[in-house]
Amino acid sequence: MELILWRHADAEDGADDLARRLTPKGEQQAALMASWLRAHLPGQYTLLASPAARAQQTATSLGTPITERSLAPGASVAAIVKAAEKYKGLVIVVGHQPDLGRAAAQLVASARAEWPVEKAAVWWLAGDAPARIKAVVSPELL
Amino acid sequence: MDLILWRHAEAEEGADDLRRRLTSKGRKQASRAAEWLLQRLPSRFMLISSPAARAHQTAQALGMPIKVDPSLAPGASPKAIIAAAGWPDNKGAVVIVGHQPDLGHALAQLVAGSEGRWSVKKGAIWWISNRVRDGDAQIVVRAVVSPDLL
Repeated sequence: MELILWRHADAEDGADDLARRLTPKGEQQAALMASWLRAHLPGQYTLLASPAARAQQTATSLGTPITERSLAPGASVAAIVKAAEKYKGLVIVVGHQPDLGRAAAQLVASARAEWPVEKAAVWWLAGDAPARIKAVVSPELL
Repeated sequence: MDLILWRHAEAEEGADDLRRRLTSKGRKQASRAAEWLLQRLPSRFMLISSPAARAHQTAQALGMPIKVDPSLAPGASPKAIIAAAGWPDNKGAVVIVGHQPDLGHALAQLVAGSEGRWSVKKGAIWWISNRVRDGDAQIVVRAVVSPDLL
């Protein structure tokens, strides 16, 4: 399995969590990461996103995502893996913390831990568990 | 503190392991990685290399003074690497140039607290830092890049 975990970019505060939109800074972060991804992705991949507006907006900077309700904030590791396993080849999951950091810890180290994943950062994992960390990129270090 | 673990680039075969030099592909890998690092590192950082020629040559691509530390030679334990870096209390940034599987062992221990053998490709850079968030000490993997992704 090849899986890219991509955390949504910087978002506005708001009472309705699922409706929070990216800030201008977040839009820039998403665009930067999308151009890095375009330069390094294989020709074929599947782009999945949480239904939250900030994840949808982040994903849309790369392409039109398939919305997966199971990736909404609070997604379990099992839900993330299940969503990705429905597709062949490289799958990109645009989601939330601490969900993505839990998935990375489980897949890479079989650990129940919440690894920090920075806003708009990409964790590129390859191989079956234990997965190898192929790349980690965030807007600050791009 | 920022800790950058950098695996030496591709090297020639050779009977004398410590004298093996970079191939021309390895020299290109080292200079691309060095360019990436110089654009992102703070102006002051410590550069520490294994005494092996392939590590020292990789470190030289940064064009900065190099401290050679014999404890980073091939076979270095996670403990030796962590001690050489002064992790976690060193102020500023430290770049360590070393070997596999040593760097992968140190990374598994630092990031996951495990005895894993993480893969680190030739010429790859792992950049981690420590911070306190909501009262908890955290280790953040800030970047992992290998020459094919630079």
